[in-house]
Parts: sequence; C-alpha cells; structure tokens
Amino acid sequence: MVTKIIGKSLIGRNVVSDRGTVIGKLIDLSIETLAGKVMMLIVKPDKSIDTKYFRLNERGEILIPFAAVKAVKDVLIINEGGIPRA
Amino acid sequence: MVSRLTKMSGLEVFTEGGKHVGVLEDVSIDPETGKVLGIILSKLDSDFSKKIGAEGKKGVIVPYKAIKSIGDIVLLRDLIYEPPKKS
Repeated sequence: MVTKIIGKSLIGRNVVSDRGTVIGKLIDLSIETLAGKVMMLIVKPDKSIDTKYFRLNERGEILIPFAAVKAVKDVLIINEGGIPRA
Repeated sequence: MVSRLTKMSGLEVFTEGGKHVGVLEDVSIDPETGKVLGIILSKLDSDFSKKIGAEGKKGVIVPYKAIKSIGDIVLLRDLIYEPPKKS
C-alpha cells in the first residue's frame, strides 16, 4: 500500500538519527520539480549538536538527502551512515 | 529545477490554455521513496471546480503527472480540464 503524507505536516517534526542523536527540527523540503521528487530535508540544527560534521546551506541549516530517511512517523529517523559529512 | 516546499506553497496554478485554476496549497509525498504523488490545490476557480465536478469542495489533489512545469506559476496539462463525459 502506498501511504501518503502531506508535505506541510512534516514541517516542525523532530529529526533523529538511527543511533539516537537528535539532529534538529525539519523546517523545509527541497523538491526537484521536473521529476517530482523530494531531494533534501532542510533541518534547523538542535543546539546540542556540532554542525561542523554536517553539510550546511548558506543559512547554516543542515541538508540531509531524502535517501537517508529510514522512517517517517512522529519523528523522522535518519540512517546516520547516509548523512554526507562535511 | 529545485524548489522548496515553502516556496511552492502559494503558487498560482494555470492550465496550458491559460485558465486560472487555483492555488498550490501543499504536496502529497510517498514517504518510502520521496516521490511527490500529487499537489493539493485550494481556492479553486468556480469555473474549474464546476467542470471537474468538485463544486463546494475546499480543494482537490492533482496527480503529479498532470503537471507540465513548476516555476513562478504551476502549469497543468490541459487534459485534466476536459469536462467529464456523461454516461
């Protein structure tokens, strides 16, 4: 069964790695409009994490490829091995 | 082209024929693959909602394959603007 989620309902959810690290809160999604695919999660980093280990955009927000997403429910679980390191 | 959900939300939606249809409110996503399944339109033009039989509805979901392009506006393929055939 194909489950559907509404884009805006994801915004504000916590983003957590599969090793239990709280990464931050989802603030936006980057979408490739031709193919209709979510490319990146744009995450506002949690105060407790060191952002130098992550790929950041010009506003200091963490970019996580959608391919690294393991599960989407009350929180978004990210496969830590799939996060590009800066 | 790469856009952001927060930037896409609020874009005006037109058909290829230049008719105004409504406003892009949100997108529907398959959480397994990240594929955008459809877009959710709101503030539907009364003319459009009459033709697709969605009068009085707050919004409709348009499948992603009906989208021609997304830029400063959203352009829909005209095929979805055909009135439903009476059987």
